[in-house]
Amino acid sequence: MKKIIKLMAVCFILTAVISLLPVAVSAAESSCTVIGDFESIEYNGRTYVPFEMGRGFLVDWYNTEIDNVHVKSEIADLYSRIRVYVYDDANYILQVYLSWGTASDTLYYIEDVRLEGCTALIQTGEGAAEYLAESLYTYDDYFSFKPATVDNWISGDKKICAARDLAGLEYTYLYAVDRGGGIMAECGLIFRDEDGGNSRYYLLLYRDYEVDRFYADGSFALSSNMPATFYLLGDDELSAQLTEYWDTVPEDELDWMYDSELPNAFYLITNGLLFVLLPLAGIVAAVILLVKTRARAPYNVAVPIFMAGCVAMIVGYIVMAIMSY
Amino acid sequence: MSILECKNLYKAYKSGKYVLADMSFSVPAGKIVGLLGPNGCGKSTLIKTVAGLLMPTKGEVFVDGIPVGDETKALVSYLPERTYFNSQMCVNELVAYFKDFYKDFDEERAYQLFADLNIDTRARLATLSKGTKEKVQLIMVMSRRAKLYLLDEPIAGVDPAAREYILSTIVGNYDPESTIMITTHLITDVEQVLDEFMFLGYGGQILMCGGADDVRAETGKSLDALFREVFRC
Amino acid sequence: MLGKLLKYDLRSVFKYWWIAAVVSLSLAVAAGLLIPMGFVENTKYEVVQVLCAIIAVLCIVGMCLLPIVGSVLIIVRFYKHFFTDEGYLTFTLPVKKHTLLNSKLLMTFIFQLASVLVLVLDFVIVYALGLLEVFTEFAIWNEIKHGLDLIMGDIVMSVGNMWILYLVELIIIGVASVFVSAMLIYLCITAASVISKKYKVLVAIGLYYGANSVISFISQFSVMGGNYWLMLPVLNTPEHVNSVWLIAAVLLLVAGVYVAVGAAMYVLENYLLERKLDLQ
Repeated sequence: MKKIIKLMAVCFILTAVISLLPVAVSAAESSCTVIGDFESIEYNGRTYVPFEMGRGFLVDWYNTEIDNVHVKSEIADLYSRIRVYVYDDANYILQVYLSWGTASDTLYYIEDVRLEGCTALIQTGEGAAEYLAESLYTYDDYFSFKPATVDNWISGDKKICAARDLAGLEYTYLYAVDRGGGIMAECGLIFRDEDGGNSRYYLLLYRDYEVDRFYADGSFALSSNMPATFYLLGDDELSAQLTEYWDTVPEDELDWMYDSELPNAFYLITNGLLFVLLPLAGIVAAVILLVKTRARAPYNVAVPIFMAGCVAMIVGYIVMAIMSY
Repeated sequence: MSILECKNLYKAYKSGKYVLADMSFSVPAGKIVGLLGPNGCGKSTLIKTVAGLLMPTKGEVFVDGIPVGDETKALVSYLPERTYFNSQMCVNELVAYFKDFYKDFDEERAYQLFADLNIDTRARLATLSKGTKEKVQLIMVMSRRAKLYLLDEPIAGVDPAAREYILSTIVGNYDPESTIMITTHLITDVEQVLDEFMFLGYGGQILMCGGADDVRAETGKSLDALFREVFRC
Repeated sequence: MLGKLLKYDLRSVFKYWWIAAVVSLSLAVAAGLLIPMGFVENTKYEVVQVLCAIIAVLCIVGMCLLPIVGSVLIIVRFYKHFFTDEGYLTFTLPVKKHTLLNSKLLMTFIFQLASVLVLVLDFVIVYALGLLEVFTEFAIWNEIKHGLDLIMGDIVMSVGNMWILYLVELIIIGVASVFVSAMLIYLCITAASVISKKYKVLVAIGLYYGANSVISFISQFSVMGGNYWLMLPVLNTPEHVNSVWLIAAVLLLVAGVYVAVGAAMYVLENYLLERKLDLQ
């Protein structure tokens, strides 16, 4: 009995120590400075302010003044690159959103320059512009957007097909934000067609869909077979900006949030050991075992299956590694 | 030809102490052999090793010339000292179970023996008395036409009348070409049915063996008296 | 022999499992009838409404206990059949030890599948009797459809015909993961019986807890924990998240892990049963 108790005590202690290691590693990963009451982040002389953005849900930005920002202390798993377009002739701001988070309440950090260019966000506005996709929302009583500026972007060219037919093209989301009420909603998709090194962009607006759904977001558009109109973007400036954003991974933007050197090397080594070296050793041991047992049941079935599993692990890991570097 | 052969058999448990050490013997076919010895001398360990329940630490054991393993289990009928059936089964289900797995199981004989003892075959084992359960176990084991029967303490914990019945069942129902090995320390009850005997000492040492009648004629003593002499404390 | 063993194993577990299945179905009916009373405004008294809602939730929780009951029955069957006095009968049957083990594994699969089917039936009953109204009332179905469309939209746009490969990989992962979970428990019980005769159950629980802790620890630093984002820096960009071949590679890796680990456990279990188990 004493031996059992000793063994269990050792197991418990080991487990406790092992459980603490990830905590230590993740603590080491965090390299952001959290300052001030609203937890802004400073980097390269710029201040980044977090705000919360939900997909397809109402977001009340009216209260998002600096000292009332709803913040979280975690850093987003994936960063987002957002280009905000402010047009004086419209009551709304369009955002082209090129990344997405894994959680519906992922935080996005953008430069506080936005606050200068977008002071309209925190100003109260009068009335509301006509919403692009009003037929899709039951909340169309709240706001609507003028399509005017968007119509300025598009050229005469268009194609009519289902969103699915553009499978294989890269795409991103288009959001409209009401300056006055601070309401944001997804209102379309932008598809990128790279043809001989030149990129052309097609705009799909949800206003062109008539779907009986509560929420307008890319999901129904992407999976739907219903035909929609894709407008070719004719605005050269916007196209150039989209190309720049799509193609570049700027160093001074948000990937600094990831201290990628130590953790990535650490994970690479750990995973390399686990998924390459260990299975290789397993295959060698399996061959020896097969020889020793002279292929009798059940070893003659189980051991080859084990070897197949090891091979799958090695191949899977190598393919992952190759595709990612 | 020997039905059972042990060559340099060693068996140690985790403590490292050898319960059986360098045992070598053979048992001829068609005999009733008594494996006699004090408690803890290794009788049950030897029986379980032959039955395939324990792995020898060293050495070899052969049943009918075949190394002990999955094949020899079809030749050996084993009766442990404890109840080893699923108590939620009823007797009928047990008979069907044995019939399914043992080709040599004689269903008719089993039901005949149950009828002789007035055992309700629809009864669940859990509802039977200890003595009845042991009788059921014995009937199931003896209803097989095995080459080797291993009976581990078949009459321990049973009343004298039941002991007599059990012994008569053993003798009356086994195939003369088969061999029965009985382990017990109740020698007086068992010795009249034994053809041969083996006195087992601690560490599995064979202290004395031979024909039961021969040794009684030679020494003028019963096996029980001889046992007391050999294992005097 | 495998068929015969399986027959008795299934019979032994089914003797009690069917009761749990009937209870689960009955709770589903009860939940289905109580949900409209609890969640839809059609009762006069709020207290009754609240009570109905609470009981409906308890019923749903009760329904979901069926897989747990099934697992317990299977584990008890394995333990009793191998490591108690019944083991004397089991291990003296003229059957190979791996056949005994295969029978237990097949039994596990069958009852896990049966439990899932009963659960599906439960939810169909609950939906048909009760949730239909609630879904209409609160438009929850639209929320669920919205979520599904999100997933489907991305999959359709990104994957194309690769879904067939993904499906095969996911099926392998699914089957292998059931196998691995069952083998882990069996292996812990067997190892405990080898290590300690007197405290088998305690040691088995300790081994299982220890094994799970080790698995969780390793998973945190590996792909198995979904941490491939952290592993390879370029994976942080969405272009690679969308890569269909990358996803196929990850699924292949996961499938390989489950298959290899499961096969290794099976080999080890057989070794312990054949060479190390001493029934006393």
